[in-house]
Amino acid sequence: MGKMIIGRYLPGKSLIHQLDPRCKFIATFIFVAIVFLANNWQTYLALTIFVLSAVLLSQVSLSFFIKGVRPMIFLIIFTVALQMLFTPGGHPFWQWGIFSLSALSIRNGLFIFMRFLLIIFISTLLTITTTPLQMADAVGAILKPLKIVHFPVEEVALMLSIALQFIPLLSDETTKIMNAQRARGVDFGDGSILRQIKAIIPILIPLFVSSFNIAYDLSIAMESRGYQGSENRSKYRQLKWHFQDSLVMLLFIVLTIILIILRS
Amino acid sequence: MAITFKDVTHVYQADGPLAFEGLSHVSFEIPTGSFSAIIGQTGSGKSTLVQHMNALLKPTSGTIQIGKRLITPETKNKHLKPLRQEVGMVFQFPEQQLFAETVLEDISFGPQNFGVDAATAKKIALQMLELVKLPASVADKSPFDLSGGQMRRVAIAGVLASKPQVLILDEPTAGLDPQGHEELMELFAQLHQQGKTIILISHQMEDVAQYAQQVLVMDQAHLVRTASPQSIFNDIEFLNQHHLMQPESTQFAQELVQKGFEFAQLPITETQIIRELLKQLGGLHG
Amino acid sequence: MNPIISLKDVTFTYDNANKSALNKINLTVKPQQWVAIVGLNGSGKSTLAKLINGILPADSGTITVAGEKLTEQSLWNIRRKIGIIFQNPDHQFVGATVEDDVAFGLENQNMPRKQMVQRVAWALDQVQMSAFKNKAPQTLSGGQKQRVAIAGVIALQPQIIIMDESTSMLDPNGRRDILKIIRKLQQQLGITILSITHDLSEIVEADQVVILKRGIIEKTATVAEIFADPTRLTAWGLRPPFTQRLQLSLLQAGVLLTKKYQTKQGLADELWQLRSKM
Repeated sequence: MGKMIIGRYLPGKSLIHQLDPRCKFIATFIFVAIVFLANNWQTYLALTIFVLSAVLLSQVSLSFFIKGVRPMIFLIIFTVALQMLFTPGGHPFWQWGIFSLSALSIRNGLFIFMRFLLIIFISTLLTITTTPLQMADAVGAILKPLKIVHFPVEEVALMLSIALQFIPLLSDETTKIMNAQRARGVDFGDGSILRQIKAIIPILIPLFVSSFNIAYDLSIAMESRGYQGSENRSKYRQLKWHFQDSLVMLLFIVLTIILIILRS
Repeated sequence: MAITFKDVTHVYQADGPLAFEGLSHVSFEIPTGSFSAIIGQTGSGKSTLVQHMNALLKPTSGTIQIGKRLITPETKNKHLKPLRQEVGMVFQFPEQQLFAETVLEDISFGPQNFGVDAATAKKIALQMLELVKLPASVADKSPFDLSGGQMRRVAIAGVLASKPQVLILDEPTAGLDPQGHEELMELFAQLHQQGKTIILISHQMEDVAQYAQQVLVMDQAHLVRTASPQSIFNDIEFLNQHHLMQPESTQFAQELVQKGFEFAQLPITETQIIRELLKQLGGLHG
Repeated sequence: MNPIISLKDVTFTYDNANKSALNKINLTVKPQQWVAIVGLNGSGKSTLAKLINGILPADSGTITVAGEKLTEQSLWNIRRKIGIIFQNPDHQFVGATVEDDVAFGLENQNMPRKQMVQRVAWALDQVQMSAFKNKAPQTLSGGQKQRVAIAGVIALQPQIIIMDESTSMLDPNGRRDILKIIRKLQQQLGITILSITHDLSEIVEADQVVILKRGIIEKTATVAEIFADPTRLTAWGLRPPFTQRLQLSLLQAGVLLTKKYQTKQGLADELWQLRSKM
């Protein structure tokens, strides 16, 4: 079909979509770090307003962000519960053995919950507004300093980008092979574990064969087009750092200062 | 086994942001023992259509009657095995589905899944090898050591081994050399004569003209026409409109018409055009 | 005129094979010609392409491309002169978008970006794919993919294009499209075409047909010469073209036709003359 979505990217033309992926990447990292500065209602309120305005600017429906929380829900509940039940201090109004609940522990639990939510929202914002390819480019650009220690940055970036684009092809092939074996009477997701493992073999082997064929063909195609490794290659696709990207960075500095002032 | 589609629509990724229609309100009937061809541009919905015939895809709306079985949007994935045994499917480039250590194992994989015991399945596999004109000596070889054309035959044998009553062929000869192509088409014609219902997806209009009794024309998820090959290939305007070509014989007949020949109906196969020409040039031979 | 490609006594054997895939091949191709290489599967035709641009190293013999002998030193220089369009359109994309992919070969030459942008635009324009430059190659049809592959190759301005069964996985419309574009490029840019194929519509485009059989060159001739004797074609993995089949059947039925190779037009004319004499 070739129409699947890789990752969670949703096409759009919003301000957030148009930011340089490096900017979005760095901003996300900064945000994850400064979330830990927050320790009272004022700071959490500031962060929440900031994240919600960013979500609004992205023009992506809030439901996609809430969906992003779903796979994490157990981890969140577990951590929050742990935090609430084991926070010492304050006046416990409920106690059972080593477990206790106090106004302080409930407050802490809520803050942890907020922290999770904010981090998930902001990273969802990154993945929803940035194509996997832009991400690969950003990673390549950010890792560039590692070249000093002879880390093959360009190779890794090219590898990432090629891997990303063969995902739809391989997923199509998988569907096709699964269908072909289904037509020959294989039941997937039926029967004992042993039977299910056995049912995977007729898919895995053709898929391996197919992947090796692709890799072989691709390497020949690359060599024929003069690829000799990443030395002395120019670059066609270039990331452009715009004024708005600098503005976002500035905004983060301001946010950090606000947090430092407001925290208790 | 007759197949009847009633107002079948299929929407891919129905609940996602990229939902799109693969089939749109398709209705038709394929009689038992017939040879039908499905033609249309790449991406017109041919493959989506045939994948409903053994319930690899289920309709988003509408119903499909296959023999005694009724497939509806609510049909569960369980109990589909008997259907898959009755409706065999040769996918495009079917050699990609080979996986077993030996050719024999791969061919007997289908029958064994459908409950045939190992010894019988092996016997069937050997018969199938003969049917697809492969020497018995390849039986114990790895399928991956064979040539591309041989692998194709092994894969087809693997589908035939389940003894389906309906055989769906999705461009079964794509990429083969002319000789391999002709041999396989003859095999399918032979299976048709033995009573199997054949459904062929093809871009080769010569094959469609020569073998099919009924042609289904797909365009952008719609079934735009169901008719005899004779009437479809004589309708040049319709073919152009749907970016389809005429068989070579018909193209040539048209050139002859421009010179001054007259045909009651344009011939669509080589046999027809030769017969017609001999009739018209009759005075000259012998 | 000096040949653009010449092979002298070239032999190649795959590892683990007991027979040579190609045995003492001698072949010369004149510049700006269209040469079709045909033969049954396993006759060695794809191996030949891989030898010419040094993907596979010949066991013995010499290969000369555009006056330069193929050696380890000249390898990359020679690859720059040859573009290959492969069989499977899905297996040759490196770039994530159409324009990125076309640029890949240029990036490898370390071409300055400014020049690259011009070249990419020019190449995409040649194959009429400019409108798709920001699309992911996976979203295109088979024929469009091969057009992008052609753009990626001509962006490097090669002297030779090798088509390695590059239309065999396309539908008839895609095939017609690709052949039209290649024909145009051959005429406008003076590119030499080497097409490895068993598709008739591709063979009839050729100025010269080379028939390979079990690793040796069985015959080199023009299209008309090859098809003049339809009886031998099957052994070479070819089916006589429609006109030849029709002509043969009519002759066998006693219709008094000339026996030579004919185009559709020619045969139609002759049939009409016969008809008019009645």
